[in-house]
Amino acid sequence: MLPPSKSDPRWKALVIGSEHLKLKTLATKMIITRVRLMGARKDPQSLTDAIETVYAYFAKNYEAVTVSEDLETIFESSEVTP
Amino acid sequence: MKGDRMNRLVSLGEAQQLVIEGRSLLFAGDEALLRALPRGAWIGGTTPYFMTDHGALKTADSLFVQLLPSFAVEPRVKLYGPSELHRIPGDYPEHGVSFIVMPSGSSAVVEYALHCVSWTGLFNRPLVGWVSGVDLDQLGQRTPKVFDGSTGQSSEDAAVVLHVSVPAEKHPRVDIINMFQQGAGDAIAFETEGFEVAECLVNRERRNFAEYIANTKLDTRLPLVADYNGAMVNVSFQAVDAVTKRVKLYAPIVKGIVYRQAAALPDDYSAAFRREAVAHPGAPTFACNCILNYLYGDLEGKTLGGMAGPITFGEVAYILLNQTMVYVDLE
Repeated sequence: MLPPSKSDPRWKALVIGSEHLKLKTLATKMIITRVRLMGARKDPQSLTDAIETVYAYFAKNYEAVTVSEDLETIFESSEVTP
Repeated sequence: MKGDRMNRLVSLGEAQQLVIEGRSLLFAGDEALLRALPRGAWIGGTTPYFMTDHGALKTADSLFVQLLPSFAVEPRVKLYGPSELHRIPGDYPEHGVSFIVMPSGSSAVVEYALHCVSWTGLFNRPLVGWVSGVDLDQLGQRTPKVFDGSTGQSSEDAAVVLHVSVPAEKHPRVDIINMFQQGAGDAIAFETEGFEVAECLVNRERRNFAEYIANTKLDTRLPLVADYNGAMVNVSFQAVDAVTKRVKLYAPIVKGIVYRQAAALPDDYSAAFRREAVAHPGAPTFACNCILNYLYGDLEGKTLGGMAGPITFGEVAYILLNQTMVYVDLE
């Protein structure tokens, strides 16, 4: 799966979310935890930084099978895509 | 030396031959043996403790070698001082893996542990490694070191990293094996970050952490555990000072994360490990395991499935970890 464009509102839903995601890749698990801590600060810059960080990770790695599967899991979750 | 996999103790002579053959190598062992290696595409760190196919053991007479496969090419070795660590992700290969070793107690480890998650691109490529140490019977007499095999330089305060490229069809897999799960006890959080802490929030109520540990008679061999979307991340206890009422930890606690102390293992560590390791590859390219697991789990003489590697004073799988086995499989 290609990462949705950076302006997609679902990225914001991800970084301010709290749903426990069943992810496969260790790096994905860690980076989601990290960007949600950033997103929890709620200020606009932290949200922007969180989205930039997680988008860059998936843009760089989406061709790896397990990372692509993690991307699908995230964007199929009800919290991100109600 | 034939074959494309090697993950075992070797003599100094065998190790020297591997270097001369031009292989990319990860070494662990005694400082004197590491100093006797010729220059080449290798990095090393000091520790006398090892997991082997014959059981965990302590020795200063052999080096542990982890041979990278022949398809791991373009090795680049670099020492990064504490103020340069943030450049590591920028030096990642376009498609490959990076291995890092840092000396225990160094500024490099502290800087890395506190700030790595803020570095741009940290998670963009696999980064694994360990923290070097010394024989616990020689604490205060010897110092942990890392070695840059390309120059022969050693350091007590820098991180050494080996970056290698792999073919596009290979996808190195980094993962951890953590025996510990969050227990059913109190939710513990912190309003500050760092390796040392005084105050905490226990079920959202502010308490002195050292007093809480004493009053609840917490078994400090069991780490605090955080749930990173299914990855259990430990923070191990180093010391609880009843006089200063401060607690020292082997990794920094993170503000905003909720920890629970680990549940006690239902049986001995090696049995628990073998059960947990079923879902993981039997003989990865690189693996390491924590000295605290060796000590608390009484691992001397016991095997851990097909896992072999140095026993270490901290582990790295992107971030600094405690009481965890880390591995990367390049196949």
